Amino acid sequence: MHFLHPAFLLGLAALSVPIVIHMVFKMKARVVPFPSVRFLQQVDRKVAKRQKIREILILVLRCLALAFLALGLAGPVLKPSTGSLGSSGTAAAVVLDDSYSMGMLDAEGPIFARARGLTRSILLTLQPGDAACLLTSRRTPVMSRDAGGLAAELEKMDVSPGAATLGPLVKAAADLLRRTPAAQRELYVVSDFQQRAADLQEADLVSPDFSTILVPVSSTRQDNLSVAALEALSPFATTDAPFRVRVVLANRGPGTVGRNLRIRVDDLAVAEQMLFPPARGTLAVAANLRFDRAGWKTVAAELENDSIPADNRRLLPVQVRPQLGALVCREGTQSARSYYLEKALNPHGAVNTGVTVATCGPAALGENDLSDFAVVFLVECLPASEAAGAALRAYVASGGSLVVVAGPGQDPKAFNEALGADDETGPLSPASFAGTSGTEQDPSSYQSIKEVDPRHPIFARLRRGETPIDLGSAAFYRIARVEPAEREGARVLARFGGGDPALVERPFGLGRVILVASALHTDTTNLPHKPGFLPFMLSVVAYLAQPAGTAGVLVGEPLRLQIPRERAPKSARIFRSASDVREVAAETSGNMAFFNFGPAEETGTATLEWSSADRLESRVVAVNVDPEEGSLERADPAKLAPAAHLVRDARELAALLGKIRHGRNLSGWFLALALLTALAESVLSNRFAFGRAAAAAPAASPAAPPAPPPAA
Amino acid sequence: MRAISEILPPQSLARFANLDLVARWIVEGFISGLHASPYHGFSVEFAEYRTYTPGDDLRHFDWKAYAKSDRTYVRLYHSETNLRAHVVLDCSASMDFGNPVTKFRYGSAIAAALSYLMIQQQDAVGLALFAEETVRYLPPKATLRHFRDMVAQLEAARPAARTRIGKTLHYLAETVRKRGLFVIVSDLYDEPEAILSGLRHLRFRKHEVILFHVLDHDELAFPYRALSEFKDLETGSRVQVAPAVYRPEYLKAIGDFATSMRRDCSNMLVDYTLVDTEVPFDKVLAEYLFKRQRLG
Repeated sequence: MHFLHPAFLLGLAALSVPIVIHMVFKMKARVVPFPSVRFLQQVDRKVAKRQKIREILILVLRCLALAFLALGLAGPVLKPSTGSLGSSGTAAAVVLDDSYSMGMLDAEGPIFARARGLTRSILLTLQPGDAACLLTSRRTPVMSRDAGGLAAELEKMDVSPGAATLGPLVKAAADLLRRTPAAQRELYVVSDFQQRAADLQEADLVSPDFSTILVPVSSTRQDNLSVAALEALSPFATTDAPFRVRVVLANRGPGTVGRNLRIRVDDLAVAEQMLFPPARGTLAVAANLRFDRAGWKTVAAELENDSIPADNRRLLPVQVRPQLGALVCREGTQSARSYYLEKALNPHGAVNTGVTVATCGPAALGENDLSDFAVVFLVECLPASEAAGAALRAYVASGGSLVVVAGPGQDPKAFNEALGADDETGPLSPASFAGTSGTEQDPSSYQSIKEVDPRHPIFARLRRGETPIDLGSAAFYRIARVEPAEREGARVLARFGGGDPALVERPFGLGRVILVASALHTDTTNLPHKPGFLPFMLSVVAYLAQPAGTAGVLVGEPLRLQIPRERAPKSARIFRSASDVREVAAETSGNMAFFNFGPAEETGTATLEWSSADRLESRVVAVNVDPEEGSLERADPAKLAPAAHLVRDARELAALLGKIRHGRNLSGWFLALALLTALAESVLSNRFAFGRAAAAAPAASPAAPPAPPPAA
Repeated sequence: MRAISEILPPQSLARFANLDLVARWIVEGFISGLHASPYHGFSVEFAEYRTYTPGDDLRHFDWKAYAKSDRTYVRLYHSETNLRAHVVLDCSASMDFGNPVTKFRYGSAIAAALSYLMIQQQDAVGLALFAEETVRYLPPKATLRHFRDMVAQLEAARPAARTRIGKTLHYLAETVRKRGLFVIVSDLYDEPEAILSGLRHLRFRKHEVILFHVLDHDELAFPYRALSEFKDLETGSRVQVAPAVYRPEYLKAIGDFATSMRRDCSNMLVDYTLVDTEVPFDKVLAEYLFKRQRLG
């Protein structure tokens, strides 16, 4: 046991007061002349012994009352047993949730400020020599014996734009505590305990090795709107055609709330609308944007600030081209074979897709500057010469995109020779031609696309558009049977019902090649007549026209660049701002080079820049927050770990800290004992029998009843 | 009519030094509260007529006068005394207790008032003051001069010495041969056996005895609180007492003493009255008159 305010123990000296008073009063009792002392002497013989015992008892009670009072004011605390861990001191690990939901604003400011205050109060109760660790999503967990330094560091902390969950942090804290020798180990979790972030099991939180204290920090506000998504509906952006984007707003609260949505392009507001997403629902709106200049643009969807400001903004980087050129190469005498493809790429009517289509024959491939085109379609034909083939390979290797439409009428041997492997670069085609399947005359041999890779951007775009597109209704009368060059990194994106690949992709140099195992005219398939044909082809073009790699990441995800090894520079740079430039070296794995720029830490855009051959390439990447972090659903900490201590506010935390750090405070008990002993002393001393009237009452008995009034 | 307790409460005795005057006030105030004309008795020698008042004894109604004049009268007579009374007042040191009025002062007022009342009713009254022994004795007479002598003795007396009431009563029983009335005013701080022996002696001589046991309110209630050392006024012996603890036992002891005295007096046909010095004089005078009426 020790005392919080030992100065009050000096009050024990007051114990001498009742003793002295008792002795002095005994010596200096007031002398009262009295006529009937003989009765008192008669009583004295009876009660003298009892009176002495009573006087001693009163004296003891007075001394005890004073002693209890002094002890109670001195704050006695019962220190818990330090156990048998063989070491002294306390080790405390504080998991401080700094996800952006902790930035929720209420009348008292951001709840993170409250969490910081609670964490500070934990750190400040540590004694010199105690170890502490502060764990956040952005801090390396290391035990420190400098609690003051940690507290100072804590003051500079703010919420991160990340959406880290508590599970990894709690596990790291538990591991750290187990490795730290200490008599008392404490794990604190200071968080809003958002449902999605509370990926905790009771076994993670409760352990015989340490005490667990959950400190929920919550707000009374129940409103929050998030920009849940900002995505491009148009497959690509050009200065010619409108660019359509879709914004999804999520209302996390139980009531309908109106907020102004503003869309900006490079910080210039271009659209604004007041929106009312339904309670606990979403609302999607679309907008057409026009770009007057080519280059990288940043589209931002912004809401007015609400309870959680971090999820009110979302960015979408868009590469705007003056025009998107597509070269369709086909036999000059067979323009019908590319008719539907050309119409799909640019219908030339009310619909402006932004794609400019040029055509050429196989012989002219080497004559055109292919770098002017974003995509080259090789429609049921092959490069007419080695020069044309080399030009095509160079175009793709330098970042161009090629779509090979393998018509069933083509000669497999010639196909494989023209587009197969050469000595330097490997096969240009992602698959070798093995023959044909099906006939137009036999409907039973018709095939349809049954299996697609839903995660591939081509099909993902078709699925998430305003109207999902399904290619399964198209019938393919004759198909080209191909065998994917899996060793070369080819992968099947779609298959026919019979299992034959329908769409195969393979990276080639900096570019990509997609093989379509069917002709695209109505002699062999009715796909061109299907409504999904145009979106499908535009989705293919959109996918191929975009640079490979990451288009956008969430905070905390790695920023990476992947380039074929033979074309990769030694280093690449990342620009977050004019003053924040970092260069990283390439890491090679297989035939690819990787540039790891580390996890994205802040929202905004980052420009990745590298030299490729004789060109300076760049790409803008958006870093957005995870919109789900804006959810208002909270887990009940009491149910997460019923065995853990749960404190609801600073007062409870202070009481618990005092209890587990210093021990059980016995002040209340001692003060109560002081009161009880004082009451007992008062009762024993007859302090409550005040006044003459009360004392006179028993005297009625000896008096005789008054005589009746006599007659005169 | 106002009662004597309103005109002259016991506490006011301290303000009046003239005991003669106090006695007159007490008696006249008391009598006027009882009857319109107390100065005449109903004896054999006619004195005068008085208008009949409802409540008058019809034995004294003058029917002849009523028949002649159609007026109602009662006949009054000069009373003839045949009572010799002694007022025996304790003037021991223990009587010098009480605030603002001591038991002795209260007893003196009672003695003076009774004496005055007796003399007004043509009774002869004597006075005996005693402590360890009889310190003053005035034989009974029924004159106002005698009353003034008695008052002078009372005013001159000072409480002192121990109480020896038994010895005094024996002395009076031996001295006073003719039957009479003894009014004893004392706090009875003597040995009970001695007291009873004296009383028994008086009763043996056929005297009527009225005993006023005068105690101060503090003796009856024992209202003390602080630890005190009580010093006996007569013996000087001391005892240290925590009043809160002693009070119940003390009250029981003094109550037992009074009860035993009342019982023993009753057995001897002695009229015993416990008097608190805060009690008005009415009670004392009423007790006397009650006894006097029985004596005829």
